[in-house]
Amino acid sequence: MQTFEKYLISTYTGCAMKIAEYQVKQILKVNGFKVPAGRVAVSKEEVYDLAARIGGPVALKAQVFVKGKMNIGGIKFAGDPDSAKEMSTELIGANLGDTINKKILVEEYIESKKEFYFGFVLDRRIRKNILLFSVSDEDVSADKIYPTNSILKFLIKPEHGITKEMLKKIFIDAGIEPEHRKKIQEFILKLYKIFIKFDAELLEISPMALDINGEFVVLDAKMKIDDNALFRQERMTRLEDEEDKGAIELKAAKNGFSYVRLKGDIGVFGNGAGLVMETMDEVARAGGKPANFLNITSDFSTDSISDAVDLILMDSGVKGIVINIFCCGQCIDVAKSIIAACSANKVKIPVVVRIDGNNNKDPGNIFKNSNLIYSSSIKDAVSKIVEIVRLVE
Amino acid sequence: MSIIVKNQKILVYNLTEKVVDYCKQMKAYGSRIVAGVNPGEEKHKVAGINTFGDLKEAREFTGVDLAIIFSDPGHVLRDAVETIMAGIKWVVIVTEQVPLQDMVKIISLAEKSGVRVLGAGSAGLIIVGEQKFGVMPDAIFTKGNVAVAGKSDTLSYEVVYQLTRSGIGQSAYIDLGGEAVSGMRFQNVLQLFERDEDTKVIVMVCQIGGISEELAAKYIPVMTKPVVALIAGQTAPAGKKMGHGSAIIAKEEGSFNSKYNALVKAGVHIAKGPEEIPHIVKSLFTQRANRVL
Repeated sequence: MQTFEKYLISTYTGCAMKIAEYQVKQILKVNGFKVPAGRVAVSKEEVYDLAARIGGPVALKAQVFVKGKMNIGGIKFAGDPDSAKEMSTELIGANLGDTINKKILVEEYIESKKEFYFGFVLDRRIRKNILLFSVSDEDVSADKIYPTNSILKFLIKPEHGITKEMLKKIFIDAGIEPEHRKKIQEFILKLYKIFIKFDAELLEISPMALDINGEFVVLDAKMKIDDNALFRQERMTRLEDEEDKGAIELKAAKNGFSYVRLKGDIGVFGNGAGLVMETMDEVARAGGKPANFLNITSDFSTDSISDAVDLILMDSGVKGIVINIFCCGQCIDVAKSIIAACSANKVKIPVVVRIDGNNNKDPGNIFKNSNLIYSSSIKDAVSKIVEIVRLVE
Repeated sequence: MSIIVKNQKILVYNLTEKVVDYCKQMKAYGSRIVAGVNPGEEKHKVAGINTFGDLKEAREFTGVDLAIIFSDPGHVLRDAVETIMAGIKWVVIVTEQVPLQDMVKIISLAEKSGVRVLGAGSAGLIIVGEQKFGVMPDAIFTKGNVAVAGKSDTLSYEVVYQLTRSGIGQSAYIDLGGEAVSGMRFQNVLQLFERDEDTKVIVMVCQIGGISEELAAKYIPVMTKPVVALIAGQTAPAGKKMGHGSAIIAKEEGSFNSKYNALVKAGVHIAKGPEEIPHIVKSLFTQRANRVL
């Protein structure tokens, strides 16, 4: 199966919210695209019922966010309800590309005469949207940053949108029969409208089939929504599967922090993405392993420090914590709230704190009567925590 | 100083109570805030600054060179477009997490109109000892000849502070912001620093994600001034967003190695941590002095 995502991995920001296939199809259906009759099932009994209701052969499609679903056995075809039920046991609860699949989309099987692949991607390298179109599912090397030969690519100027020239080139170069041109044009324009309306970073139909009855049907579709725009895409927020997030990630999201779990044992937090990453790097340079990335944002409130400590302690693999804060406000206040947060959370593992910044009136003194270790240097603070954690082992 | 014309007249979008302190600090630093625009509101005064309901009204009274936008993410597009259409040549977008499709439109319009856009999510720029246009804490700066540009505010402050404490002053600091789609990139800022007579050495505070560093590496070999870089995120895993919209490694692109290799090849001095930067800068100054002698 052709997907533009794999060719465009370099433009795919990855921070976008992914939408499940059945949800994208709902959106497309509401906006005038024809999609196969079908619904989502979570048990083999439901699969049986749906297959019986649809009648005839069906497609069973795992609803996981994994590339190349077909190749890893995430899509199956069944001739009747009984075999659909049997096959569904191989999909529900199956581990597909490191994700446990919980839902199956059961759809009528569409026999296609011809297939079209088209979609839009926000390319952050050139900071513009691009239109992609292909009639081939020929597998091009994924190393290619940009599609070549078989895929047509157009840069979209926001003020012009999809132009007549682009459509003309698609018709000619992709060899679209004259009787289909009006439809294809309509689909491209409609899809672009949805792409913009929903603040998508990726929206593709891959493929759209021209079936044996001469109808155009969406067989598969992918969509990713820009995180930054979720405030005006409320419907999308509700569609997201929160269940896949772990308890720590959920708490982080609730507190407005960014959190990424890593494989080490030294918990790290600080204010500012760059500063936290730099602190992780320093941990590695000192021979330790960071347990996480946790950014409490540069303009944090002192109240949020307790949440950050709490959050790090939720990871039982953490054997020590290093806190690195660059203050734009009062260092003393931050120092006090760190001490309060650690005693309130009854922190039993070693904590090294490094605070510096704008109004640094030696916060070191404040730490003298606490269990926390203070250092004014990042390098020193990090090597201290690495050393202590190693000794405790 | 040729990075920006002296005595810029500044306009502040969304001059609410939340940003009053930033405006006071800018004024205290010598910046000329001539007006505020709070769309839809009646004309009034905030911290001694006249605020107007729309840009036209504000501009007729004052004339403006640079706009700083603190608007909500949902209003940045409206306000930035208004600013660019009015012919204002510098736009600093402090607001974080602006929808990317809005940034695509803003950047496209800015490119056509020859307008410089910093951000979204930019702390702004400061010409040390003269003017500041943004939210950076000015007390950490001291006047000198090192220009700093970065994508993450607190890490850049850290670098500036290390320089200041080692007795090395700065000429300017510019924050590009950490969003996935943003206006000026490293190479645009390097061009400004290269032309600036007060800048002798340049420090780039880089981080994983995006291609800004790689693009800069193509320009650096033709520069006459030495460049030092710090690259944060060597330990960041691929495919995960590290806080900033742009801080994500997609396959090899945007990775530490990609940036490291590109910058080293361009002759950039790579620092291991912010605390190493003053040492490298000092040795560059010594080399320069020896060459002059």
